[in-house]
Amino acid sequence: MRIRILLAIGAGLAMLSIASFANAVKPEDNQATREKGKQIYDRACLLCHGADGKGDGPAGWFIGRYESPRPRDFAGGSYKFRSTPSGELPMDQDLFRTVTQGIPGNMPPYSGLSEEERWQVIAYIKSLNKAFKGGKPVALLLPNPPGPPSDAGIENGRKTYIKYGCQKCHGDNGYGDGKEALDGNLKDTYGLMISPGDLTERASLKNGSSAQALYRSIMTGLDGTPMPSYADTIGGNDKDVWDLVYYILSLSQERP
Amino acid sequence: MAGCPAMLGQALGRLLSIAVPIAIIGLACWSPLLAAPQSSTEPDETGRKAPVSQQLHGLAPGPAAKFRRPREVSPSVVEPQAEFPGLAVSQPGNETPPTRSAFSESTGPVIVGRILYRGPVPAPVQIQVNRDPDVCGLTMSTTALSVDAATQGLGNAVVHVELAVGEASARIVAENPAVVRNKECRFHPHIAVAQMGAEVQIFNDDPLMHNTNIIVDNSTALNVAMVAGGNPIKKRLKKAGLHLVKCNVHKFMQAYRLVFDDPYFSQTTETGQFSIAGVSPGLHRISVWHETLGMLEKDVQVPTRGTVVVDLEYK
Repeated sequence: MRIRILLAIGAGLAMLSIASFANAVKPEDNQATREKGKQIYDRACLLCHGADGKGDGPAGWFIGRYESPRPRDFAGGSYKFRSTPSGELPMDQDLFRTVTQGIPGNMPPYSGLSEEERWQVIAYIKSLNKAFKGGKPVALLLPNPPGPPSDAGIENGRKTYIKYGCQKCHGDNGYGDGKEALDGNLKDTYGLMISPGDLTERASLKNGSSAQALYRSIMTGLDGTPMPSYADTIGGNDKDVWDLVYYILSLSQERP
Repeated sequence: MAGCPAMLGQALGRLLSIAVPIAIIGLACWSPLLAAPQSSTEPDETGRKAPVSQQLHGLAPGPAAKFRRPREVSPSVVEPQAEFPGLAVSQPGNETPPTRSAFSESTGPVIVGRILYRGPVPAPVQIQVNRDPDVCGLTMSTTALSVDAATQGLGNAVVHVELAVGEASARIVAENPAVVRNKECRFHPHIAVAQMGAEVQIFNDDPLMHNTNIIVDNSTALNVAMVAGGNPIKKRLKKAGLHLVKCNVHKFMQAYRLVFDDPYFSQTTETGQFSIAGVSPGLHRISVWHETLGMLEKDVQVPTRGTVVVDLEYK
């Protein structure tokens, strides 16, 4: 009897998963999809990102038209949160992740929209930038995190933090109070002042605070900001990067 | 009991209906992330951009930069000759000019001339350096104007001949790499020209960390960390326009690259001379860019053969 109940529960969960995954099916990127996406955009995104997607919506007066970070300019601005090399467009999955999870402190998560609706609005957003009609971007290889961090690994991460120059912006202890930040030298591509993330506060990590999200930020950089990509220059030092990731996570005093 | 096989069949069918979509969706969701990294060697297929000079009009390359009309323009046509005295094809760093296929340099028209500046030349500005003095030094001297005292020729200006309306560019092989070298907390060279599609090679000769942040039209074209002892970076130039090169951890480091999507450009020599070959006959607009003096423009009629001499002067 107990087995039957468990089986029934399992079957129910499977059906729920199916319903969830069914919604994840990406609609075809055609005119009808983009029109539906525009309707959602006008309702959910226009206020900040503007009628033409240039990041100049009416709310921009209050949330950062003249300070960084501004709402993304979908017509030609840089995309911060990518899994692709610096200077490249994001993958569709990157846009989906940002729409779903939001950006801590800046943009609310839109997980309230169905997955199909999120794909529709992404199809519309992509239509605002001609570059998306060109060659498809290719993601960097972003592996899963290795096993739990060791104390020796975190110590190596601390040394890597200095070697990679992280302290110049994020500060010796990760508070976002490096020399370049304190001297006001850090500006985005619009010339607006921008602050580096406070690595001791996970909510400050806009691209996500999981180990893999941190690895992704280090390797791809955050375009539009001073944060560079490390993928090419440190090729082969994968262990150092993971040690750095775990060191950064240790700064927020939460063991991953 | 008779219903058992049917129930089993239904269950199997349901299981398959679960597993197959999950597998397909899983593959669709994760395959991009599992893709191997690939160097971006493909040309940008986003279509042609506006001429660089048009893009530059909206930018302020330096504190004194603004659009200026040429004071004196002297386009004239002379017969083809074996050599134009005292003139060298000026594409710094490009020892061999790119291969052109549409027009022959030996038979087609050539635009030559000089960019002049007769105004006052300010003394070099000494900047106090407050980062990494062991490598960067305590002061840095910047010279905004490079003017040859004997000829008033202006160096480090960039001359570009825009295509006529509807004209297709000659295809060339952008085989000469554009180099950005971080050395003693300076970018070398300070000004350079390149063809879109060429490889940009970035080196760090310093024993400290830099980043090379290339910005085009308020957008990141490339921002890479240059860790001491790290690998050099090699990427394809995918965006035409004025490339502002900065290091965010040494704010005094700044340079420019002008990247064109056609081969009709030239950087002036120390005596202000330039030469551009391969342009098709017809009316063309010549634009000149300089870091602090801004832009000049002039329309020039290019004949079917011969040499057109164009001297432009910044007031």
